[in-house]
Amino acid sequence: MSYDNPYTRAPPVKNAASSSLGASNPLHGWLPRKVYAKQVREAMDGDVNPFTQQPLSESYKKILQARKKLPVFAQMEEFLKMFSENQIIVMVGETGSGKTTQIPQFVCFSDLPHTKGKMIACTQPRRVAAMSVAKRVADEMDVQLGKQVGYSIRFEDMTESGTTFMKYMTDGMLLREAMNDPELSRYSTIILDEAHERTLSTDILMGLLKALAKRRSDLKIIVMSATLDALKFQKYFSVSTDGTPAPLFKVPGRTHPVEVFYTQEPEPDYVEAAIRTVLMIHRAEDPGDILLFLTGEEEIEDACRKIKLEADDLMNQDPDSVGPLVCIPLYSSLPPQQQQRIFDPAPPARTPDGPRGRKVVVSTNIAETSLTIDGIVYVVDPGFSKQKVYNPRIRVESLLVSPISKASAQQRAGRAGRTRPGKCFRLYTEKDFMTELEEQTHPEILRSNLANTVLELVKLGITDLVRFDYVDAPAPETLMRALELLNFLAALDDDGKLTHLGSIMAEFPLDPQMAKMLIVSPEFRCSNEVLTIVAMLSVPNVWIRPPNQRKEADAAKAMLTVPEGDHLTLLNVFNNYMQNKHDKNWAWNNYLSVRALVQAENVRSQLLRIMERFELDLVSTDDQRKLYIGVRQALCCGFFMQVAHKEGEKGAYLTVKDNQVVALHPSCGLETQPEWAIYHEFVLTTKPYIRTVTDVKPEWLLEFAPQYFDMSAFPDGETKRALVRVQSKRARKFEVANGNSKPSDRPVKKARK
Amino acid sequence: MSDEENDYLSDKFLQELTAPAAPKTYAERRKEAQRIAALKNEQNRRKSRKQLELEAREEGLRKSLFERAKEDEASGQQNKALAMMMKMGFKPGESLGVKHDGDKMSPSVPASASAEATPTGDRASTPDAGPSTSAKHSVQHRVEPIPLNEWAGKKGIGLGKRAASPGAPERLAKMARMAADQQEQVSHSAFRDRARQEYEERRAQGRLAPAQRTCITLDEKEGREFNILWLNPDNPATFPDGLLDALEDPDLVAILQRRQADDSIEGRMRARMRADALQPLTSALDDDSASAAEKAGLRKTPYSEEDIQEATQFLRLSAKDRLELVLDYLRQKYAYCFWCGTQYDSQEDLDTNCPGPDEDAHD
Repeated sequence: MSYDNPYTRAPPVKNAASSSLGASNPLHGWLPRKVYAKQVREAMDGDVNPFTQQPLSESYKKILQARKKLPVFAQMEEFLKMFSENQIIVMVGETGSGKTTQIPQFVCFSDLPHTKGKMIACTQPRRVAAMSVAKRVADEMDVQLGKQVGYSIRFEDMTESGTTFMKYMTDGMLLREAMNDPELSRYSTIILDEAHERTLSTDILMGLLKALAKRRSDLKIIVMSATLDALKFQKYFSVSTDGTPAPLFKVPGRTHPVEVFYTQEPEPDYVEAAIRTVLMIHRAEDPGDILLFLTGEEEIEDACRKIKLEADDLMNQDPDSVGPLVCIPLYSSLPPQQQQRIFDPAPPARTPDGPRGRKVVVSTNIAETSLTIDGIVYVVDPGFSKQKVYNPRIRVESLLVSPISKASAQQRAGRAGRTRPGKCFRLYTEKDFMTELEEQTHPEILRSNLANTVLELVKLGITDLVRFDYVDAPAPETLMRALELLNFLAALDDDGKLTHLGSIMAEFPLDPQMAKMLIVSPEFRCSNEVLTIVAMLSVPNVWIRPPNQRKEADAAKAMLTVPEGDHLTLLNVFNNYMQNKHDKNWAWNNYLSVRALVQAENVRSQLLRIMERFELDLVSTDDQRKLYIGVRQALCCGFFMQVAHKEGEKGAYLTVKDNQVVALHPSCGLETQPEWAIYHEFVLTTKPYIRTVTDVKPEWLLEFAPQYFDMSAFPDGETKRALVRVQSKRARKFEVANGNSKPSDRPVKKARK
Repeated sequence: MSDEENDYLSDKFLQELTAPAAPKTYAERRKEAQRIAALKNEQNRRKSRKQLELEAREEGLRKSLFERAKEDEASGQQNKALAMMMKMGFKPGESLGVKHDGDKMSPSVPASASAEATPTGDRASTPDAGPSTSAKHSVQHRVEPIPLNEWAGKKGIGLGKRAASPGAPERLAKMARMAADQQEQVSHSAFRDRARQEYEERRAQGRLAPAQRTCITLDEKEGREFNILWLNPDNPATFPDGLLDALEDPDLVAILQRRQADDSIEGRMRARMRADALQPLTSALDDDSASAAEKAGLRKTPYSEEDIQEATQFLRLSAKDRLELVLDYLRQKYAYCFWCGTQYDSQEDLDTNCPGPDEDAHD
């Protein structure tokens, strides 16, 4: 494939100004991928922006001075040389090296993607990072965000086709793009950042890119990672047949040394030990803020309360040596304005010459990678986190407290050395650190439900999912469950080939069950409503439940609850939100997250566009009763594999086929306990729970998912007996009604083909 | 006022009349006892909602989807997802991912992989040794899903249950099931069944001793100092010092002692006669309490709570069930088949050359 293929998707930038400026273009005469650091430095120090031909601003020059101090800047020469000579590079740089912002810019100068109508992609595991880094880099390059530099995340595209040549994006977005363009032909260089985090999408992308590199010799690939897993990536990406690892480009970090302390004995109660340690630091150590890692909301709030109480006590007893202390919780379900509190400065001393105040941030592991808090000098690490693990045998997503890995512990310790030398207190023995902790956290691909990924891969044209070149291969049973689901949803036929329906489903950035439900919803005359529900299920929790106002929040929620099911409640919430949009305080008064609702609105319009593309009509019914029934039936078409049946004692449900004993989640708003309940998720936290539940009729399950509810293949038990009873009752009814013809009052026969 | 007064038509009088009814007949008492037993049973069942959840989970996690697919196939249902995977070149027991032929060099790789695939997962007790993190990077991919590990309470690292004996919880769950089955059987079985059971029980009892001896030998060769499976109520010598006291379960200890005496029909008859002769059993009890007091000084047992719990459970089981557990353990841990009397080279060897886990298969 040649560099200047005239048929590439994005046409080359035709800049009228460039021809008239001619030789004054700073990039004049440069040869792509044969660029030297001297040239780049000159261009950077010039007065004309090489990419826009506009004069460079003052702020640009100021930022440039700061950039030059980054460790990675000193190694530009080395990098450019390696980039010119190799197709795949593995790069290692600790936090603070500037790799995420600088390397893509170096690549821009060397690759000159705009001259050949190509783009550079740099993937990020997190949406927020993609957005904020893109903004930063746009500033550094002195261009407007969304023009030459842009970003693309799910449900938000901030790029301009034909202009943007440097694109930050979530790894998931690049994977979705690959679905429709398996050659990724619009990119000349792809950078996978934060590869050590091993997100599901990054793992899959590595597999795809490794194969793609063989087909597209013009494509350059850079895998950026923290130190620990570099060798693994180098080996994985070894291009030569003799197994020589891919070349490594290494940048030192800009972190300070961190002294690590261990306990002498294992702690009988890590929370209590953590509180004690925080207070010990507060009383005895030099000024500097503390970061404590705990596992979940409840634990964190509880610890905050206790620390605050004890610290106040200490200060009152000994005001001359103990300063004031603020304790700030941090977890993902916290509203954003409260999350911002972690950036507040530590409290001032009470008297002008009194002891200084201190800030304690008590956080889940989001402060381990996603968020950087400056000023942290002490880290307290009890060694636990909550980890999501999917188990295919009982199809549960567990969210259980478990010991962290060594890599994770190192990462936590590193948080103490961002501003100056720090200390890390590990609440376990050194021996246990060595023997009890695993080396690495399990990559996400081993811990996730793969239904979505498998659909994407099949759409990509990967037919052999068994022998795909995984960096770490998932458990075979997980693949089996994914194929089973997709087959029951009729997205894959019995040979594992993508059906027409499946290819439409893949176009929606949704779980296959939701995509299916959305696609069939026009047949139930409720696509307008199902679209809303799907959007609401795609955004973070809309309910706010402040710890000190639980009762009020629950009362507000009860007002919006629809007794037939939580899905309908979500619909109701969104409709009410839309009706009360003029009232700024409505969401606040009803304990709802405005941010989540706005996001839902945005998601809804994005999904609507995809629906229009496939000519799925937006329809609705006036009769609310019929409408709700239609919604519940559409739900059955997508989620028939997630049904629980009430059996025996009060409140005990058994999941269909897997026979797991589960309870309705306390957030569930059902008025009664229906015999049959369809659920959005089955999670294992303190107990096995089903969450977001709606009452359904067994007749619907039998009618809309006959393959799954095939009685001849159904495991024996109470559930089967109940279904058989329903079935025979139905059969009798038909006989009485009209011999052997089908019932006529159903809106559709069934959704599958 | 009128409220206070008792209306002579009030049914209170009737109740009073019926309450102190005639002395109960045997049948009535029996019915009453049955009712109470049923109630208790029901309460037990209700109490253990958590137990139910746990058992369902254990049950669900125990069996791999491939085994389930195999069972379905036996009943004529083909698993489409598995068929798709087979078409892609998958074989149950293998991992996904690219196959590197070069790595077949080390024979341990396929062996350990197949061991991990064994359902009962005693070998899967090393769930994290096999997969990705191994030193050899590339090839060793996961064969089994990541197990669900619940961390107990707020204990710090180093005190957790994890990794200590990952096989134990599974075995505990199995024991609980066996015990439940046993109870059910006892209450429902007729005399003839019971006699047959007693016969089988005695037979199992006879087999148990040699099986346990084998187990002790093999364990000791591995350097293990104690294993619950060594315990034999008929042979006090199998109880290490202090364990019996540590059990702290008077019922069980009493049962043990009774078992040690005699538990056959004749034995019970003899006991009955003894009771009828008003010969107090206190002597035995006194003995017990005396020895308990004597040993109270040695109370600091080296046994963890888990061990004790497991031992208690184990001893409550019938000899037949205990035998099954011991034999299971021998097969999985040492690839030893008691019926063949052979220790095989590996699980694979055992699977191919041993006719089966039951005695019947060895005729």
